[in-house]
This record gives sequence, C-alpha cells and structure tokens, in this order.
Amino acid sequence: MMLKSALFTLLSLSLLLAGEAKQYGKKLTLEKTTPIEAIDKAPESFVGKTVLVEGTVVDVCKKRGCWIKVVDDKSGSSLLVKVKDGEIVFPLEARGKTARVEGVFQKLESTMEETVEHAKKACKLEGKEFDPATVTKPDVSYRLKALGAVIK
Amino acid sequence: MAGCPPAFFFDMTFRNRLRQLHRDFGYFFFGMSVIFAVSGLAVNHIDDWNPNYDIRVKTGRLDSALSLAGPLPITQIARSIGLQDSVTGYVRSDRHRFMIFLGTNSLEIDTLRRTYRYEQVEERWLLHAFNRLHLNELKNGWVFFSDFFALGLFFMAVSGLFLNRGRNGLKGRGGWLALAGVLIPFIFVFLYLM
Repeated sequence: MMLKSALFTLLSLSLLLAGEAKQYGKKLTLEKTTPIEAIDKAPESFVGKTVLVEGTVVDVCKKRGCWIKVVDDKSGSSLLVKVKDGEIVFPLEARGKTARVEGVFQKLESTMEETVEHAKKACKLEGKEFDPATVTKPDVSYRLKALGAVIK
Repeated sequence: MAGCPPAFFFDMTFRNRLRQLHRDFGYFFFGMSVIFAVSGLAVNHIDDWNPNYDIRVKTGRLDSALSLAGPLPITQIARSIGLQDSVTGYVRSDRHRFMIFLGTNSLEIDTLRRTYRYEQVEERWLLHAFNRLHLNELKNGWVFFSDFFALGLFFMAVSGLFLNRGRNGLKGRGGWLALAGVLIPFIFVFLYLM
C-alpha cells in the first residue's frame, strides 16, 4: 500500500514537472519579443543585436543538442538557434514545445569553397548527385547565438 | 640508533600504503572509468555514428486521394502512411511545410510536392546517459563527484609510477614508456594547435 502511494506521488510529481518550463543557460533579461517573421524579412537590420524570440521548436541537433530550429507558428518563418557545444544542451524532447530564446543575432558568410563543400555534403545526405553549376555565389546565413532559453 | 627502525621500513610502509590506496581508488572508480571510457569512444566518433539516438527515416509520396487544400487532415495522413503513433501537436514550419509531432517522432509534410518525411527516433538510453555524465550536463553535485574522480585519476597516475617499479623503475623501460605517453599529446599540440 505504501509502495503504491509512493509510486503515485512520484508519478504525479513527474507529470507536474513535465509541464513546467525549463531554463537553459543564462536567465532571460529582455521582456519584449521580436517576431521571427520580422527578423526573417529584414535580417540585416538585426545583425549584432540582442533579441528575444518565441516560437515552436521543430528540430533539435540529435548528436550534441547544440542547435534548435524555432518556427513562428503563424507565418512559418524559422530561425536557427545555435549554442556553444556543451554550454547549453537542448534535449530532443524540446520538439513541439514553445521556446523563448534570448541571444545575439549573427550573420555568417561562407567562402566559395565552404559553400561548395556544404552543397556536396547536402547532396550526399539526400543521395543526390552534386552539380557544381548549382553553386553560383558564396552562402550567407543568419542565426541566433543563444545566451539563454526557456522551453515549455 | 638502537630502537629506530631501518630506513627501508618507512619505504616499505609507504609503498604498501600507496599500493593499498591505489587499489582502493581503482575499485571505487571502476564504474566511473567504464563510463568515461565507453562514452569517450562514443563521443570521439559522434560524427560517424550517433551514440545518443537511433534515427530511422522513411520518405515517400502522399496518397493522391488526400486533399491538402483545407485544414491538414493529420489523422488521415498518418493512417495512410501506416503510422500508429499518436499526434502530440503540429506546426506550420515553412510556406508549404507542416511538422507533425508524434512524441519524439516527427512527420514533415510538404504540401506543394505532396511528399512526407517520417523520422522515428529511439533513444540509446544507456549510452546517452553515459555521454550526458561525461559531458557534465547535470552540473551541480555531479561536478564535485567528477572533480573527485579527476583527482583520483591524477593520484592513480602518479602512484602507479612507483608501485611495481620492475628492475630499473623510471630509469629503465618505465621511464621511456612514460616519456612516450607524455610526448605523444605534445606532438599533437605542436603539429595542430600552435
């Protein structure tokens, strides 16, 4: 009887904790969120700025938990959130949950060689043949370097 | 000097104590050594093989009878692919894409190309737990214990030099082997990190 009630308490507690928000990295300092759609439309104006974004986690790095992809439910705009390996580790269970992430927005410019390498790797992953003619200019990408996040 | 034990008595006692401590540390840290060795191998080769999750991907085209014009018929889509998982949520992930969450599994639908990508994820829980311990994800109390383990390793490394010394100890083969073990990491530092 005692074992049953202990198990019940443990189960209730774990269910209660499962719905709770979990903090990763530093505590969030900003209160006002910047819509991901706004960043997606004019990324250059946000480069170097610290922003707070909110969205649904659609993908998580399955090897190191070092990045998540956050999507704005209404517009479908997405943002890649990267953390320093080991500093924050996002769990796979974050998929489908809402994330509030604060970080510095960054612009990444690849060289032509790097762009070709990336394209080759992507083709290999998809099982397609790589056509060098498809790479015409160096890649430019944007991401949020996360300082802290709350996922619930 | 009557009444004083000979010098070798202190040496023997010290060595015996060292041996005893070395052995006890070895027993105590057996589990930790196994965890760090196994996860060390796993993390070293993480680019070639995912030690944390077993991921299976299934792709294909959606049933032509399914209408994607209105609200996404999630249950019908899941059923047409033959999935048994229960839907835990879904979100529009791109202009023409939807991500459907099925617990830890996911199903991505491309409404324009009428294709799907189902990702089934199974956790390799023991290896994942070892890796999380090795990479110090737990922080707090775990840091103290792993610090203790690190100090224990340091003690075992140093005490190991003086236990079974052989005929010449560090002046013979032992010294050369110890030197080689120290030089190898230094060679890598000079070649790749300087």
